Amino acid sequence: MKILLVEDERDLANSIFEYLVKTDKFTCDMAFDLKRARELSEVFEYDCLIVDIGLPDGSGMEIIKEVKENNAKAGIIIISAQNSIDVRIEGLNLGADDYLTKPFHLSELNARIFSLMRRIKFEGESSFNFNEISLNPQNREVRVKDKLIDLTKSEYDLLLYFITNKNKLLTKASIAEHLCGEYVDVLSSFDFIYLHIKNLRKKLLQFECEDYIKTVYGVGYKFSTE
Amino acid sequence: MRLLSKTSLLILTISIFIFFVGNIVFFMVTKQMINSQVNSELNSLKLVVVKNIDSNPEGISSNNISDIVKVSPTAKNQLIESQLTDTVIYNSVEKKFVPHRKLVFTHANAKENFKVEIYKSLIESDIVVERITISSILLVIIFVISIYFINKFIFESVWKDFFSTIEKIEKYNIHHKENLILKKSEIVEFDRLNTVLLSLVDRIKRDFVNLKELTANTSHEIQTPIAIIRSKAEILLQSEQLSENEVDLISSILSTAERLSKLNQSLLLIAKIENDQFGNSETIDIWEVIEKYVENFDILFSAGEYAFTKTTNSLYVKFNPILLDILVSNLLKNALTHNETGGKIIIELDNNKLTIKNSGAPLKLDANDIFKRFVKDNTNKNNSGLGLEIVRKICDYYGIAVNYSYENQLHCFVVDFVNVAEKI
Repeated sequence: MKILLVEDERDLANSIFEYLVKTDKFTCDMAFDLKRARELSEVFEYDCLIVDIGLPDGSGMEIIKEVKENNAKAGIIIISAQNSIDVRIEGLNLGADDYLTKPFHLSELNARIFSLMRRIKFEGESSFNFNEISLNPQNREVRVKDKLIDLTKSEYDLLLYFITNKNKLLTKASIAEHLCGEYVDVLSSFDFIYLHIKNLRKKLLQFECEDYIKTVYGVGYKFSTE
Repeated sequence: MRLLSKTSLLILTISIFIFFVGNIVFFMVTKQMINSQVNSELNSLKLVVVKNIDSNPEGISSNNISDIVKVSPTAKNQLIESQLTDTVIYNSVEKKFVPHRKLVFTHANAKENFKVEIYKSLIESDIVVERITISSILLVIIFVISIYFINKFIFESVWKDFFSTIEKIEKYNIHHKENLILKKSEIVEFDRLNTVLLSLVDRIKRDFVNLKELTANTSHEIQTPIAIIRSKAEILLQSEQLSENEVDLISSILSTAERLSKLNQSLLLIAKIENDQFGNSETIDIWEVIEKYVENFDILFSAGEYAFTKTTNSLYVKFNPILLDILVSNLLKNALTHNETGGKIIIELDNNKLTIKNSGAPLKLDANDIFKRFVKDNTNKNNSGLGLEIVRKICDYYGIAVNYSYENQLHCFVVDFVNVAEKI
C-alpha cells in the first residue's frame, strides 16, 4: 500500500509518517509543498493521498483535482485545520473520500486510512481476517473461529479500531473520540470506555479467542499480538 | 426628568416669579403715581380754598363750600401745617364706604382761625388700579401659556438632530457589520457631537475587530503547534522501552495537549460565532437534532445509568444547522457532565421552548455567572468552562433567550426559540 502525505508542517508530517510506516503494509512518501506533491503524484501511482489544504504554494484542492483526473481509484483524505463546512463540501465534491480536522489522533487517521483502503480495494465486499477473528465491514459481522459473535455497534467499532491499530497504545481519549465523534469533548471521565472494553473482551473470550486487549493502567489499552 | 419638562418648568417658574415681582412693583408704582396726583390736586385745591377764605370771610362761616371741603373755625393756638391721610366716608347715596384722601390744614385770616379739611374721592383711581392689575395678570397668564408652547416648539425643532443621533446610537450594535451613519446637523454643536461620536465609534469598532481577529488568529496559529505536540507524544507513547512512569508522564503531556487543543477549538468557535462566519439559516426540526445526539451519546447515557425521559414533539426553527448542532450537543453534554450516577435527564420540547433538566447537587457558584466563560463549579480537568458560554453566544446571535434555574434538585436550562420558530 502506497501513501503520499502532503503536509507543509514538517514536524507533523514526520509524526504521521512515522506512525503510518510503523503500521504494517504502508509505504509512505512525503511532500511539504504543492510542487513536490505534483512531481511525486505524476511519477508514482498512490493508493491513498493524505492532503493538507493550506499549503505554502497553493491550495491542496488543486492536487486533489489533478490526482482524481489521472488516477480515479486513489483514495483521498483531507486533513485541515479549517473545520468549515464549505471547505469540507468543496473537498468532498472534488472527489476526496474523507475529511479529518486538525488536530487529530494518529490512531484515528490510521483507522480512517484502513477503512478507506478496504472500501476501495475490495469495494467493501469481502471480510478480512486477523488471526482467528474475521470481520465483515459490509454487514458488520464478526466471527471468531467461524462462529458468529453478537456485538453491539460500539463494540464492533471498538474491535475494528483495535485491529487497525494493533500493537499501538491507544489512549482513552482517542478511543472515546473514535466512539462518540468529535463533539464529545467535555466528558467528565472516560470511564465508560472501560465498560465497553470489558464487555467486548468477555464476548471474545467466550469464543475461546485469545486475550489480545491489554490494559495500560491509567493511560489506555493496547491490542497486543506479540 | 425630561429635558423639555426641565426647561419648561424652569422657564415657567422664573417667568412667574418675575411677573409676580413685576406686578407688585407695577401696582405700587401706579398707586404711588395716583397718590401723588391726588396730593397735588388737593394742594391746588388748598390754594383755592385759602384764597376763598381770604376774599370772602362770610362764605366761610356758612361752613361748607361743598361736600368735600369742610371749613370750621378753630382755636387760635391750634395750628396744623398740612396733613395728608387716607380715610373712608360713608356715601349715603351708594350706601357704602368710599375711600378718600384727606388734607387737613389750618388757616388764619385777620379775624379768625379756620381748620380746613378737604376730601377727594379715590374711587376712580382704585378702579383704574384694579383694572390695570387684572389686565396685567391676564397678560401674564397668556404670556406664560404661550411661552410654554413656544418653548416646546423651539425645543423640538432645535433638538431634533440630537434625538435622531441618540436614537441611532441606541440601535447601533458594534457586533453588526453595518456602520453607524449620523446625519449632518445645521447646528454646529450637534454636528461636532456627531463627528466626535463617529470617530469614537470608529475607534472602538477598529479595536474590537482587531481584538477579535487577534483571538481568532492566535487560536488558529496555536492549533498547529498543539497538533505537533500531540502527534509527537503519541509517537513517543508507542515506544517499546518505556517504563511505567514514563508512560504516565507522556500520557499526561498528551492529555494536557488535548485539553489545550479543545479549549482552543472552543475559543475559535466563539470567535467564529462572533465574527458571523457561519452560513445561512435553514428550517430544521430541533427534535431531529436531539434524536441524533441522544443516539450519539447513547453510549454515555448508558454508562451513567441515567433515567432518561423525553417528549416527542417537533419544533421547526430557522437556524444554522451547525450552530443548532452545537447548541443542542453542548446542552446535552452539560446535562451529562454535571449529573450524578443514576441521575435523571429530562428533555422537553413544547411551546417553542426546549427544556433540558438534569439532577445534581445545587451550584456552589452564583446562578447568574453560569453562562460566563471559565466559570466552573468543579475542578474537572476535562471541563473547559466554555460550553455554556458557547450556548449563550449562539442564543445571543439569534436573539433568543436562555435561562437557568434550579428546582426540585434539578438543574434546568430553558431555551426559548419563539423568535426563530417556523410554522409548518
